[in-house]
Amino acid sequence: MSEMKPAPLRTPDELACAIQDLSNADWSRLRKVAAAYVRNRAIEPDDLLQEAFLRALDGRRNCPVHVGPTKFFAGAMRSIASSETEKRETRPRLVPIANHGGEETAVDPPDPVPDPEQRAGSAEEVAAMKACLLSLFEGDEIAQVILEGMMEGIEGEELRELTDLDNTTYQSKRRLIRRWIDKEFPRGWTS
Amino acid sequence: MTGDQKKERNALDRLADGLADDILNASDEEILAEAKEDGIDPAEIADHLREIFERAVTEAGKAKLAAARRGVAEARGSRARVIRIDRADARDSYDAMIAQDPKLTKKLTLAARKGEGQSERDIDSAVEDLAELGAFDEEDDDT
Repeated sequence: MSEMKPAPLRTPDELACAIQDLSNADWSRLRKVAAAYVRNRAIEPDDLLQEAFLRALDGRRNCPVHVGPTKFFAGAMRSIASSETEKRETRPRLVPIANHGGEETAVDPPDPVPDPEQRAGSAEEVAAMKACLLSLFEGDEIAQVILEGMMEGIEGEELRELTDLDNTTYQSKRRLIRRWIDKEFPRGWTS
Repeated sequence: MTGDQKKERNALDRLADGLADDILNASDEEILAEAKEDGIDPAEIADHLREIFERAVTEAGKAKLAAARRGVAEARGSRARVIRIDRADARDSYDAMIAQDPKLTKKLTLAARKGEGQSERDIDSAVEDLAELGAFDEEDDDT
């Protein structure tokens, strides 16, 4: 039986060299991916990218040698943005509380389990975001099907078949969706 | 997070993943054409992001240096401090210190008369304590 060996990793210095070799198109890709992941989150695309660089340089995230730097940093940004969302949901809030003689505002300590109010607020926020995205393609039923399909996790050929489009037209529609969202939310999605 | 909420949240995550995949799979020509359409110079984006990368390099370097300093400080703290002193000189200095304190000199003289004076070992121990307190000229050795 063959033994699974962990993939060799680039050292931070090797990764830094690889970054210096990125093309203008690669840098633009990274900027676009950053904008795709910062939707409704308390972080700017540039900050998200800087944090991804920092984690790679200080060794908190390691890039396997077979993974290109652009793909690696896209994955790092995805992970950072995801943990930002979790932090946001358990962040302490300033709420007025009954007090005897002191300040009337106090920190409501974070609860690892969001309370019903937080849950409702967060669910409303997400639903508003979805509605906002779908409304961008009002009147374009195919685009809405693709968008909903992507949100449902339907991918590739399966999603294309749902639209009855040939591959070229389907790819072109997907590109149109992405470009439209790009233009509407150049600094990330917000509802 | 409720099941419904997680499902909704994941819906947006999945969309972001899909968009990111499309960006990563787009050809260089497409990406550069999109920048042109948006009136953005890709070289400017590259320069701006390189600056961000350089900031990250500086920040990582500072953090590395701070960690190294902490490591050195910890290592120094755990290492025995060896002080070299000239025994005869230290003894002379000790005697001179005692002589400067008339009360102490009197006490020591009385103790000596009663046979309770300081032994050589007591004096060595007192000299060592004073050396640790920096009372004598010394030469540090970090070995």
